[in-house]
Amino acid sequence: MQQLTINILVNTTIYLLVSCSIGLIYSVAKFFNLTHAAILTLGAYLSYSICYDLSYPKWVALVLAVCGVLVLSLMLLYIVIVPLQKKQVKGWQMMIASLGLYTILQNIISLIWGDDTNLYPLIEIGKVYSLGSAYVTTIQIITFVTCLLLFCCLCVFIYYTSWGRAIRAMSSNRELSTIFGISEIKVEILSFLIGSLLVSVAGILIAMDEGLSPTMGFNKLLFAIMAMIIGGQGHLIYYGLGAFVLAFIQEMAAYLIAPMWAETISYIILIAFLYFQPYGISRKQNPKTEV
Amino acid sequence: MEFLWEIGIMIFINTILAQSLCLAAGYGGLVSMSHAAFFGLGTYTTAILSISFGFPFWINLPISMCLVAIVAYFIALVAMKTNDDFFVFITLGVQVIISSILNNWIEVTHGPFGLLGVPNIRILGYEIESEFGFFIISFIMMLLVWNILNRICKSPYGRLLIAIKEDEIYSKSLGKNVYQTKVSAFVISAVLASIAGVLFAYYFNSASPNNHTLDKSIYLLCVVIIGGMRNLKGIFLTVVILELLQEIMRFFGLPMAVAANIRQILYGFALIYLMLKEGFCNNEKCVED
Repeated sequence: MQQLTINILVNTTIYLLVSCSIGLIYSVAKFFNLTHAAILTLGAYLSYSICYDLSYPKWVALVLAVCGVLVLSLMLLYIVIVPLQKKQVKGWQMMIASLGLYTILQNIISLIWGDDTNLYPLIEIGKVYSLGSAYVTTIQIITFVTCLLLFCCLCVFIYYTSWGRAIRAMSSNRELSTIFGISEIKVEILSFLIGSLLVSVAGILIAMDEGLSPTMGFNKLLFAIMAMIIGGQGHLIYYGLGAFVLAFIQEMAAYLIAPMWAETISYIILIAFLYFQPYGISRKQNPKTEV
Repeated sequence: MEFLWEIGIMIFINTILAQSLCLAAGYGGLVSMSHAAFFGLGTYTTAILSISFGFPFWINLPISMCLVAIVAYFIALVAMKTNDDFFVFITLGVQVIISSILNNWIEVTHGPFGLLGVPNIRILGYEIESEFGFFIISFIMMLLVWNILNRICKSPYGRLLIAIKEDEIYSKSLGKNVYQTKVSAFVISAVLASIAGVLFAYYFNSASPNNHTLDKSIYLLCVVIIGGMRNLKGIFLTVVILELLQEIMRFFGLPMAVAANIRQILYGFALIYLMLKEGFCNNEKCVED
């Protein structure tokens, strides 16, 4: 039971981080950017490569990987996403386009680094602490602390700075925000950069825990979007609630039924939520488009 | 020579799948990521019925179609209540759930090992053993499905689907039952996909969960988009080009994994290039040869 609690807490924070990052991009650009999964994977692989193949120290590798990922997401933004948005492409069509982009990036990663799952021992796994009857690894503690820290920084940024206010304004009413002088493209770039930063850090943390594989991003991203949908729009804390519900259901399903059915049950719960409570726990409805 | 029949059979099966998705996605605007799941249900139903009960081909086909119709109906009832964004997610969830059930329900589907030992098709007492025989059968089925889809799309029902896709609220204001129409389009497209599933099971004499994953759904969606959302002939040409591309890449001598990755990169590029160039075009001509 204590082991379950620890697993749930650690998973909650990881899902929280990824769902905040995708939620930030969704609230500004109004589509689910599935390329995010590739950014997650790329962040992890880049830091692995810089650390092991080029033999830089660990912290330098982390910073360089995140910078590399930021540059890439800027490039993607300018080459693909802005031109598509100029064409007034609808939300779900952008999602399909971002899925195409994800396919390209994931297969490039497979070509460069191979299709296998690699281990990523950035920090020694040997240190295992015990809390009562449960075991906590160093990586789990680092994940927990980092994710919460980044989430608090994000909350401070979104709710207490003027740029954060600009992002909130753009997400609630894009046209009106431009009339008030908020630069559309700057806010979009900012939300993409912050989102990519958060998700590449999340990718590195996930890789430290579970190892690297080219398709690791997509699964995690789908769970993060589930957490986003379950939680609902509104304050960032709702993403936390959604992440907690998701992690809880997954661990409980794995414990009570069988680990292989955990994913299936999460998707069944998602469908139930989309049917009965499509706006999530927060029940905040975005204004629909005009007729 | 056998190689040619093999390529032809795969082209025909994929054409049936892609054209049935075209009905849902191109005409109905229901971009469904769960097409490979219905394909898989058709395959597995056929495999289980013919291995455990020994039913022949002409009983398996209608039973598979009915089963997939029932499953698709219940999924459609839930999914049609949502709008575009979340519809894609629900169908994605359905795909993963069904894929997972096929992979994990060891008692019935034998998990990742799949079911082996599906017998060959017997028509009027003759057992179709050769590749060429199966080529003819799949060709006939493909023509049948193409004809059915052509008639559906040119009929008033097809025009209603186009109207719903373009402006749902206006169609509702004209008194059309939008919900029922969308549900029926989804179910018909799933049933046609299950026909491809039946053929697949009989061709490979087995059923395996690896062919019915999310990747296949994404591939089918790419084919529909590249071929033109409402262009049945364009979709057939796209399938031909992509399958031939797969074979041509084999001649370059690349290792299997690398070829698969490069193929997927090309699909992604084609998708994005088309979207950048023309958007989601709904016209008849979308494939430039």
